[in-house]
Amino acid sequence: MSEVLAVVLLLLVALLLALLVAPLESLGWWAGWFGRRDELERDVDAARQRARPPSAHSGGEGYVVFLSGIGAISGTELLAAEAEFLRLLDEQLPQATVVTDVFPYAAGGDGLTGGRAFARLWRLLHRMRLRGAKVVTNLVNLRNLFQVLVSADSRYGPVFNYGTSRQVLLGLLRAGYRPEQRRPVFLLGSSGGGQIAVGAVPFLEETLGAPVEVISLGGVMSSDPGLRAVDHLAHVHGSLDGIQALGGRVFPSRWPTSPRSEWNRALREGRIEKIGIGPVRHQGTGGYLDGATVLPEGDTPRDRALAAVASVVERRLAVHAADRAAG
Amino acid sequence: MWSLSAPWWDALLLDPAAYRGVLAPGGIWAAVWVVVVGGVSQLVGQSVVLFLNHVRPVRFLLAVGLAAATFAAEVAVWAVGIWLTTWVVSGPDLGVVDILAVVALAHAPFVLAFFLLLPYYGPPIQRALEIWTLLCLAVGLDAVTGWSLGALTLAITLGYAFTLLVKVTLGRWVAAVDRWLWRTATGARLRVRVEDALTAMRERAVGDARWFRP
Repeated sequence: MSEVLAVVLLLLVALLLALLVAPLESLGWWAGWFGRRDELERDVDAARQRARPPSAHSGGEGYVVFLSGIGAISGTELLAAEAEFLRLLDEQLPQATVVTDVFPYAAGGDGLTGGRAFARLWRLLHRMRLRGAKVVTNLVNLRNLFQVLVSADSRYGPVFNYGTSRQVLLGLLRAGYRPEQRRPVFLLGSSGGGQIAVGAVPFLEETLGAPVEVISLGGVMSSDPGLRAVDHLAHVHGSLDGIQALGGRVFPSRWPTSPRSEWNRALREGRIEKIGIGPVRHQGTGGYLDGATVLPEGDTPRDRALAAVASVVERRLAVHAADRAAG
Repeated sequence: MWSLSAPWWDALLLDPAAYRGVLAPGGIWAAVWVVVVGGVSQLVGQSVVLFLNHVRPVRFLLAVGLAAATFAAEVAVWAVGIWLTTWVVSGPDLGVVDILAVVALAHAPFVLAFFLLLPYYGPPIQRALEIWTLLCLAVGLDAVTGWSLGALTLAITLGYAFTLLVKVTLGRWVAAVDRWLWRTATGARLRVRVEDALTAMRERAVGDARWFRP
């Protein structure tokens, strides 16, 4: 029994240590501690050179940038269910371009398996995860969850969110976004990606000078100051998704006891649109990305999530097109 | 070093014996330990300001050292304020060094100030540590003076008022010393405050537009 207690205690201490050092990655990135100079100009040139040619459909009316859930390990290695969801979304939205290669859980943009000190360890863990090791999945989730808290923190959030906004900008350029056209950008934040999306909005608006909106797919969000800059946030959620509801519990500034918080103000001003899609869970069987489970109405949870997201994008693109036409 | 953490732990748990012990021969070292470790811990907890200002690793260590000295100075001013009050209320029963030792040990909760680093849930910890310190101070002064609750409250409040008085009357010099310490420790002339971080980053994003919208 005492050995079990010792192991539990050890795990708790390790967890606490990991949480304590979680902000240091983005702070160190900002302070230039990791030997990388600020080379935005070079990164922008590289992104423009790698820009995708326009796809078969026009895709230029708006851009949907996917910010993955906390299971993400890098921008280029999406989970199979996420990749399939985004392929279908791309099909459903011929007028928009879907950007899928942004890793939202690091201010510097490096995926866990990319250019970082413990990349080899994360690559090993990634291989184990692909073989179905659940503990490893939880380690990745935990690491990224801590970064969500960094994003939500009033002290660290500005640095972290500014960094991720730059990754979104570079992703947009790689996808062929032309800043001079000022096309609307939709940040599609899944789970913890919802918080990252909200945090990045003010910086993206400053740099792009274009409308930037948020679509949360079961997003877990705090009352981030970034909400001040959000004109429209569509929160797509299932009635069986207890995780998205956690945002309203673990972030005290979202409680009704804080009526002047950014979240509650945005709710009152009608800038947050809640879109329920019925009995859908957060993940796994019956989750937003599940295209196999058939619901009583004959569709799948993924069909519902796709329809809701696509509908928001189409509706808001029409609003922005009308605004542009009106001058 | 490790043995000094035992009185710290007892002080943290509001044990009156720990505060009486600090007046015994050699007991002062526990108070010194608390001030040094507490100062370093507090700076680690609030280190975001150093990162925000691009402070390099070597300067960071220098800043940590100076933070301990600054923390000690703050504790000392408060202790002098309390000592002056005790002197007025009950005469010179306790020396200034005795009061200084008790006040320093009562800052035991600040050894845990590195927990301020915790993302999102860190900032409220500062308030908790301050309240905890006040309780420690009340227990500590009670242990060595045996005063009533009213007298203790008066001494702590007037002691704190004294620190404010020092800040107001010596405001310009305090600010100048603070600026000098900042420049010496960090090498940075300007200081981006944590509460200004969002504005600073937005300005940076505006500047970035030149690369994205040529």
